[in-house]
Amino acid sequence: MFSIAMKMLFHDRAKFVGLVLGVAFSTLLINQQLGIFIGLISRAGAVVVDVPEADIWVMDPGVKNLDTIFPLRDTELGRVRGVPGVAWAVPLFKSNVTIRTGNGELEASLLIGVDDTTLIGLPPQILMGNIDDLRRPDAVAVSEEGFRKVWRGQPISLGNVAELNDRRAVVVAIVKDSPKFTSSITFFTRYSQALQYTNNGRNQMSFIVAKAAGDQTPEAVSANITARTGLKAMSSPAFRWKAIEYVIQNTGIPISIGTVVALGILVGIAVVGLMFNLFVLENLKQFAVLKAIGTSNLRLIGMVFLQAAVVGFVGFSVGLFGATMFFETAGKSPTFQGFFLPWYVAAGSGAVAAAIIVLAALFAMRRVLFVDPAIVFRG
Amino acid sequence: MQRYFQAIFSLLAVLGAAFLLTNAIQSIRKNTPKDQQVEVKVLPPTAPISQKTTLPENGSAFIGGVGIVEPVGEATVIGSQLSGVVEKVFVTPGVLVQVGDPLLQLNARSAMADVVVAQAELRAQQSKLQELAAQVEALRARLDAAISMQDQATASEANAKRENERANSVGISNALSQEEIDTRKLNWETAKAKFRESQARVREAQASLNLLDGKPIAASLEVQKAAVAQAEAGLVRAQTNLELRTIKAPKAGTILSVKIREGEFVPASILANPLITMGQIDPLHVRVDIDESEIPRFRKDAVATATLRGSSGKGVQLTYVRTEPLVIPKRNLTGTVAERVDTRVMQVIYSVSPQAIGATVGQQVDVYIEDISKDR
Repeated sequence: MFSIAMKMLFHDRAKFVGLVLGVAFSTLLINQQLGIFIGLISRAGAVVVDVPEADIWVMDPGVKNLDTIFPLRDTELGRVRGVPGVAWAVPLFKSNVTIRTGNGELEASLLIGVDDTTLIGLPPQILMGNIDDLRRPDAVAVSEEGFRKVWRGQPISLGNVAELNDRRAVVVAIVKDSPKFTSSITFFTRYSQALQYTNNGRNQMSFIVAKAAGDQTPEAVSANITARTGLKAMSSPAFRWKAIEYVIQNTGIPISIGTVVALGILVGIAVVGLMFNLFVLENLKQFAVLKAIGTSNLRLIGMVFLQAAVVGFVGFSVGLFGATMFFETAGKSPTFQGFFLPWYVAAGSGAVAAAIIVLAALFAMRRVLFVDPAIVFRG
Repeated sequence: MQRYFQAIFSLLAVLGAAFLLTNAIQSIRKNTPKDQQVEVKVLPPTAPISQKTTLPENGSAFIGGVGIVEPVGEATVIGSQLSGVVEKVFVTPGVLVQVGDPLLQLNARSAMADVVVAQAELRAQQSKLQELAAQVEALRARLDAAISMQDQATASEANAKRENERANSVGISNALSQEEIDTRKLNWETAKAKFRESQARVREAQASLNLLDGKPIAASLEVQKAAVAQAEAGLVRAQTNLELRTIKAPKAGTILSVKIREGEFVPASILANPLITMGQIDPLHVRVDIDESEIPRFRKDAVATATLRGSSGKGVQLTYVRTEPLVIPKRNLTGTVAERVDTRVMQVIYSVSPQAIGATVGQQVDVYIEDISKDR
């Protein structure tokens, strides 16, 4: 009986392809847009991701995201170190500086100052150079993407000299960092060196990054730090989420991308629902015959669902493949770093595809259930 | 034929879809960034773990502070009382000196000339004194002469007096002319005057002698002695001036820095860059800045541990010396040129052996002090 359902489905190939494309297009839109959305908002917390050693971030109580910073007093570092449960704490400097590129143009860049002793805060992935060279005078590490922007068209190499606020900066290492929301050029240098590059105020320490000791959770230690120092302390994931939430609440990104996703779902439902309905209508005669020879309603429903499931499976597969191909090929472009298709988006789009198919099948089933077997004889 | 084709198409569609799906899933897996757990390569200064285990969790709090290594009693910065050009520098950094060892020699030519002048002046005044002493004998002789003149006058006067009395006595008066009587009277008067004159001469000679040989005070001699003393003092002053051109170590210790070279000019004032810095560096002191908000939690008998910047792991235990009674604005020692004031700190001095800490003067250390304030 189910082979008859399959025969029915594949009999009209044009309609089958139409059904599949409807689901595929919907899946593609949802995955591509949500993938970009998640990649984009993740950039808001990229600086946090680049310090995987630490699990606690301490900042001024008024800080809402990673771009608006109120520097802390230097003595706060000692206070945070004294809080029970803090295994270690190091300063982290973050500031925007203007850099003159190789061809004389100005670019905004991010300057991260990492702890002098331990270099905590430097991204773990070093593409070129030795990280200990950062201890040399005037030494900076630059992100791969930043290098391409500052020294356009030059092969990636070490030893290039840039100018940061009138001071000399020698590239001693190329690192791979998470792509940022605002600027794609990131320089990493020692904390003391970073102060030299930006010397612009009494208080300089942007953040303190710390590690919870032993078996204590970062959340508990953070609460401890907040209670004892009056500063805001958050675990790394929480801070990252806070930065992402800020983007969600304060930009139009969720609305614009949400609209496209909704349209994708709507188009999917409309196209697939109508086509499936049309398909069932066209094959109503066959269903009537089956009914006339005594096939039960339950079995007919099973047939319709099988047809719908096959359409959904094929359509979803094609759509998902298309979406992953998009991220694969686009991901090769250096300006499109950090975008990927999270598995939960793929799974969610699968659920949406299933919902579209079930809706379409339910809609079409009405006709199959109430078909009068007599129509076979009416010609 | 048609049926086979349809079967193959349906099979291909489903299998192809399955293939695409597995491909897509693999791609998702591959491109999803891994959550990286990165361990710290170099451990930052941490609160000492060994002591944490000896304390219960509820009490294992620490006061963190930044310390600076300094000589015992802080560094002594050597200055000069006199300005001048440096002729010789006797010490180099790291040299151990004793009290009084010469450190710097300023050019002393004018001071030496002053000494010679003062010596000549002293000699002149001394000679004058000797000259005065030599005059005493002559004056004595004059006094003796005056006394003998006085004796003569006394005798003459007595003689004249007797002659006069004899002339005036009865019996004789008729024997002498009035003229003779008058002459005798006048002679007596003259002898009296001569006697008074000789008395005055004796007094004069006595006074002259007294100026040089008087008891208890010989005024002229005293004046000259004072002049000699003055010349002696002038010599001492010139010699002191000469000595001050050699700057000497005020105490035993190690030379920490020498910022002056031969031929440079040294002003006699307080300098931002001291000429020479010295101090006692065994044991070393660690001056710890404790934030004002941590002061209530500080106890002097709490265990304190210092970790060097740039080195990790276990720190060195410190010995409490004293707490500075004055809470001062923090001099921020982040290494920038401009020193900034942002909060007040209490300074606590700890002592540590230089071998144990392996640090030199001026180095910064991270210090952890146990918070035992809750135990009380």
